[in-house]
Amino acid sequence: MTRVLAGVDLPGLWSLSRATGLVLLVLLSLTLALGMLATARTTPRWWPRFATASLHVDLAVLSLALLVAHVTVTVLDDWVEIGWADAVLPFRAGYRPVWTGLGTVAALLLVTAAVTAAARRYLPLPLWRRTHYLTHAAWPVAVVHGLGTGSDRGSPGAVSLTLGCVALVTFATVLRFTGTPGTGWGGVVARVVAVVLPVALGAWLGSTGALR
Amino acid sequence: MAVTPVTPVTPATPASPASPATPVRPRLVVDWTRCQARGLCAELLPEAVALDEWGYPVVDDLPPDLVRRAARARDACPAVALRLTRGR
Amino acid sequence: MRLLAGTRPDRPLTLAEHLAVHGALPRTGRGLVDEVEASGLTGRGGAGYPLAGKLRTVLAQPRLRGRPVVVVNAAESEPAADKDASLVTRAPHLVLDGAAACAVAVGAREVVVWVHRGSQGAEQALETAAYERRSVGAETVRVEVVAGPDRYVAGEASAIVRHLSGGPALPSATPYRTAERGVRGRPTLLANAETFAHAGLVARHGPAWFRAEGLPAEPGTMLATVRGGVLRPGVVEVPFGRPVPEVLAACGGPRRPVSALLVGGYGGAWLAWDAARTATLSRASLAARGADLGTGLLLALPADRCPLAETERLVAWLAAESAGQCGPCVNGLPAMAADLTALVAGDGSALSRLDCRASLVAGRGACHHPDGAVRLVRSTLDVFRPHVEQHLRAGRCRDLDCSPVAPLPAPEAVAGAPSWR
Repeated sequence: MTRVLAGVDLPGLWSLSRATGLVLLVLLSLTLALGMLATARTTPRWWPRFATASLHVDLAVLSLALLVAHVTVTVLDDWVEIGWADAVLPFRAGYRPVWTGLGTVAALLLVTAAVTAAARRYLPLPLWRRTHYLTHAAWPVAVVHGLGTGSDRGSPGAVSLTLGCVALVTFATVLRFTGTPGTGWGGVVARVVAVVLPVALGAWLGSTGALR
Repeated sequence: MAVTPVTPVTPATPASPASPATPVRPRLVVDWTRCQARGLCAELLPEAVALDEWGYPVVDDLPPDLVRRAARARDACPAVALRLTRGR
Repeated sequence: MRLLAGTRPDRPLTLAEHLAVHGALPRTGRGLVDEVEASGLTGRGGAGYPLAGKLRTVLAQPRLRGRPVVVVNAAESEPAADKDASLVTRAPHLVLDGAAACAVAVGAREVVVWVHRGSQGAEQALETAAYERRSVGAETVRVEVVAGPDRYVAGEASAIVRHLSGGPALPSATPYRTAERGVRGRPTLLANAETFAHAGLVARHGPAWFRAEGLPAEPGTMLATVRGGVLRPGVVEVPFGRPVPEVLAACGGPRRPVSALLVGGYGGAWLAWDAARTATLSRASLAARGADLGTGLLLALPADRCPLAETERLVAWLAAESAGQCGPCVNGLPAMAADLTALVAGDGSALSRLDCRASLVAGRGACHHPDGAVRLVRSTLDVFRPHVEQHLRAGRCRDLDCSPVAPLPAPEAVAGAPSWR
């Protein structure tokens, strides 16, 4: 038991940590996008609202499970100095403390949102609502964490995946305030912004060499 | 005026439990201050919930076989506006 | 005359005068609950719930919920009613007596009297009375007067509780009764000011005395507000069971022929004159005729005034006074007001729309505000059916005067949304 907790020096573990992190980002982005679409002003007639809400909850649960996996694998891996305490206390890790710490912050926000959502029938409504919106803060923190901690952060695969997630969330955010796509200017704006923003972000990241 | 002693009117003591003679059925109750006419409840439970012209739920009595689905509808409400309660 | 005994028309009775009229308030304890129960005293705020029931519920609450608190509802949100204002500005000590006696009976140490901000006379009289009691050392419990927003639904029981708990004065939809969980979660004895005044008399004279007036099923007296087409509109104290024409006669009687009485409040029902002539001032008699005692309002509609126009105005006002929290009320009441306008103009389809909407709106809200509007609409269509048909035929009111009878507060020139705090 102590041996397992002390960490393992398997070369594959770091890749697993990276992989779970990327998939987690995708899942989180989908969850967030669905959450925002659930409160959009109008929805397509052929797609029931409860389906969006159901998917959102299912993906959220899946994300949480993957979060546990991601944190466990990262801590267990001996190649980087990240211990169990760093999973709950941010900015103390040996490996890239700031970027890793951001991941801890995002995780804490997500867990809080999940716990309050599960208990929402027993909590005062404003409390649940406000803590649920913590997810809106958690997501960009997670994106930045991903960009900063990866040893493969220069790789076009990881970057384009991240930008894809940003595009998706941006798209959903605009739709949340304007309604179903295809109905007038709201859908157009959503599509335009969803393309322009990630491209601009990618260009900026490339030009400033932040990913080197 | 002669005052005739009258048997005092005993109001129903609120603490007494419900009479076991009447069957008690769960009811789906809407908290109208929270409901925002999202309509998920009507999607999930069309047999007991209809929507009025403004999108707000009109809830019927629940037949016993629909209670479980009513619980699902209650959990699905994004505004946490539904309660499943024991009827009177 | 009981509640208004010895009162002066120009100012409230001082503590000394009050004691001279009614005698000292005996030291009461939990035994008061049995006396109130034996007396059969029911609430005078509209619902008619037995006060003893509320007292017992408060007593039955676990200690963990906190020390009970007594709240006197002296709001009188009904624009045409004047009974609570009259009582509070003439005999405030009687109200405070009853509240204090009930407080001691349930173990409360605080009494809060709630009024609307606009009712300065009431607020003033209560503050003065509370001060008098404090300065003489006659206060057994702490009395505080709180003024809340000047809106119709703000005077509703759950709205008052919410306001006193630090929130806005908007009705709330809790599964708990006020007596179980009220102000800040504590058991709360909330009742109308008139109810407490009667309790103050029961504490002095006992249940048998209380039952000496009124009916066996509805004992005691009540304060009725008579307005509209009578010679001397005002507040009268009447034992239950007196014939309605007698009540009107006490206010000088109708000035000219009356077509109907609006009974209970603006969320009440019309009583056709033929039915009113044989009705008595009692819940049973009125219920049999489709009306409810409510807050004791009797508004006489002269026969030469258009009832449809009157109802249209009232429903429009009720729609404007919605708290804005519940969809069916926020949407349904203005829709019904628009339907009434269409009906006045002779639109036949408005009739079925009104009926449909009335069924949709009733019972679907956090409070009974929309239910009152629905009751008014339904009773208008019922009682004034011939006149409605005349409107449908002619497209307007041909033979009646459409100027208002029922008094409505002047619309406030307030910029922006009204404050609910």
